[in-house]
Amino acid sequence: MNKLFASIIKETLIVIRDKAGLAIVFVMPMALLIIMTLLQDSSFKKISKSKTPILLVDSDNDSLGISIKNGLINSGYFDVIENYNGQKLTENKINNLVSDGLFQLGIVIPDSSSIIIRNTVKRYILVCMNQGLSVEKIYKEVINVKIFIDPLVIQSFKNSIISSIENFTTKIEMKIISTSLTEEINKRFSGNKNITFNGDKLLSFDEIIASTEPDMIMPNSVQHNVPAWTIFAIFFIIIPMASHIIKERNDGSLNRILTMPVPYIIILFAKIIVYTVISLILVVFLFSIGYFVLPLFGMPELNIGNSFLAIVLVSLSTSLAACGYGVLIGSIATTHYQASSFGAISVIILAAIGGIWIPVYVMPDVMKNISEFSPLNWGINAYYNIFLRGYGVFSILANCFKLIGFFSFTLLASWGYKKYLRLKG
Amino acid sequence: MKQDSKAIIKVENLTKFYKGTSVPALNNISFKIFEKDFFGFLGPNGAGKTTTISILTGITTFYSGNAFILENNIRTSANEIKTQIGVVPQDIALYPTLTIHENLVYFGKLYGLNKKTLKERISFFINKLDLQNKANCKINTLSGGMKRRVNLIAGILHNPKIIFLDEPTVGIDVYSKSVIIELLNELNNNGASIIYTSHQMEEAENLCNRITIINNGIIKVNGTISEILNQNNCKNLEELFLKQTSEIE
Repeated sequence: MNKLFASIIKETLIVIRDKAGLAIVFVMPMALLIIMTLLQDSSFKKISKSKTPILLVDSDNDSLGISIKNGLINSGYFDVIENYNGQKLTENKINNLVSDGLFQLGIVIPDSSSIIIRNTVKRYILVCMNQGLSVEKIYKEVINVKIFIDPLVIQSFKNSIISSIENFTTKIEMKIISTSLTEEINKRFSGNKNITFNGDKLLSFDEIIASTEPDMIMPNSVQHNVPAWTIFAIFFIIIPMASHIIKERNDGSLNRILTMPVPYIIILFAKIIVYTVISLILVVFLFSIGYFVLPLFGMPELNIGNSFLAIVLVSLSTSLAACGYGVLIGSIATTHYQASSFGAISVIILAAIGGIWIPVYVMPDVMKNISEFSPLNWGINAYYNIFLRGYGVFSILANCFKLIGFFSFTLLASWGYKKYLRLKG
Repeated sequence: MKQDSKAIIKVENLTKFYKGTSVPALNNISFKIFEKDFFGFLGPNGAGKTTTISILTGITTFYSGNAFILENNIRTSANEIKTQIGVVPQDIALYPTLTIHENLVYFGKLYGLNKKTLKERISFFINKLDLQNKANCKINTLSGGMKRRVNLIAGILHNPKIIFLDEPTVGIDVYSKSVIIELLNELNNNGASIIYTSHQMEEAENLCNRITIINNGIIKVNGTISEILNQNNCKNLEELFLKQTSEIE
């Protein structure tokens, strides 16, 4: 115990006096966290506030045209443009502007579209009210609302635009049908003057973010970026850790220790304990940035959920996983350069596939499957459960076990590699 | 010749191959080191000195043959042996950002010394090697000679019966060299056996009572200095060393 304690003090002194290492561990993640949160937050706001300009020629100037125009404006996603360079738009002009790539979308609503719909509906009603007439023989006119689309517009965006426009036109069709039906019924059945079919929606959708907790926090840039970059920072500890292991080996200190009556595992555990404590301090530090500093930049403060114990368990198991990886890199790499370059790049790759840079749900299926193998993904999922879904300890146990498993695996791999080296020479 | 019963180190048919090489680093070597010996283990670079010492001190564990230290087999009693030996490597195996005192406290605690004994020993050796004014200085601020002195103290703090020294005076100033040699002689006179490797033949001739010269993993000569110089008709150790190590194999 005395030897372990002595080793812990030694490691602590070495870490405290390594100013460059401390900068890597604390200052760089802090800067990264603030910058990335601000960047993603502003991007998010930009996306939600920006509107797609859409060209419109409304030759109808009646219910259909007005409804489509109002639908587009009220959706909040579009800026409706009817004049270009001071001139009223025409179908040809729209075609040219979109094909030149100046605009991505243009809509042309044909003349008398609303009248045609009304007349067609009236004919239907007439047939329905007068038995003996065949529905098949009704004269039907089809209205072609033309949508001009820039060929460079991606398919998903195109589909969502067409879907939105179809939604507006269906609504107005229904409204015209119900109005015509109401008029016809009131004409024929004078006793029922107050009958109204106004086309109101009978079915609506409530969007609810699933959670067992009533005070669940909505995902935002802070709620994603703070835990994400904290995990990234924890894993970046492998660079100073591996460097210290390599330095100890290369300067002969390790060989001196191997001649002493102390098992090497004690020296290793001392390193793991010290770097785990540093990781936990880092968690507190970066979460404090999320809570106290980010609001100063106009962002919401970090909400850490309701389970302090769950946060401790996730932070501890993530720190242990990072320390195990640091030991492995330190065991395999022979120079500081190897450890820092391989360590940094591997953590960046694990972060990218683990959903630190961008959330996993926007990744393609292949990457979603691959992300399951990143320890950073296990960490961020566990934090999501606490911070976003408001869950407690049980929800994070599976990911914690994975992280502890990774820690055990990396230690075993380091031991196996050391054994192999000793066999080799 | 001393009796076998007084041998503190017995090496029997030690052979070591490094993986991927067909030539052995140690080729069936055997020798003995006796109590209170100042034993010079000499040879050119790559001769097998470091490999032998690595095996005896427990750094290298895969080899054939046997070695006994204080009658304990180093394969089976490594932990018992490690409390009895002190190792002073050629590298400055210290933590550069820790002070002299912090380094010595750490290594002393790894040797299992209690607080009181450790304090006394550190104070004794720091004064002995004239480092009292530098005790709270970081290693990376010291001169090469001072680092060597601290490197020596870190290996002998626990008062070992056997001390392995790998070129303890290489590349240092005259003063540091003299205080180190003075201390080594004092330790030897107080009963410690010293196994010493060096390329400085004059220093080895002055310090050692017994010499082994090894080359290409084979022991060339072994015995007291006067014995081996007479047997080989050489005037001094340097001549003998050149004769034994420049032969075409």
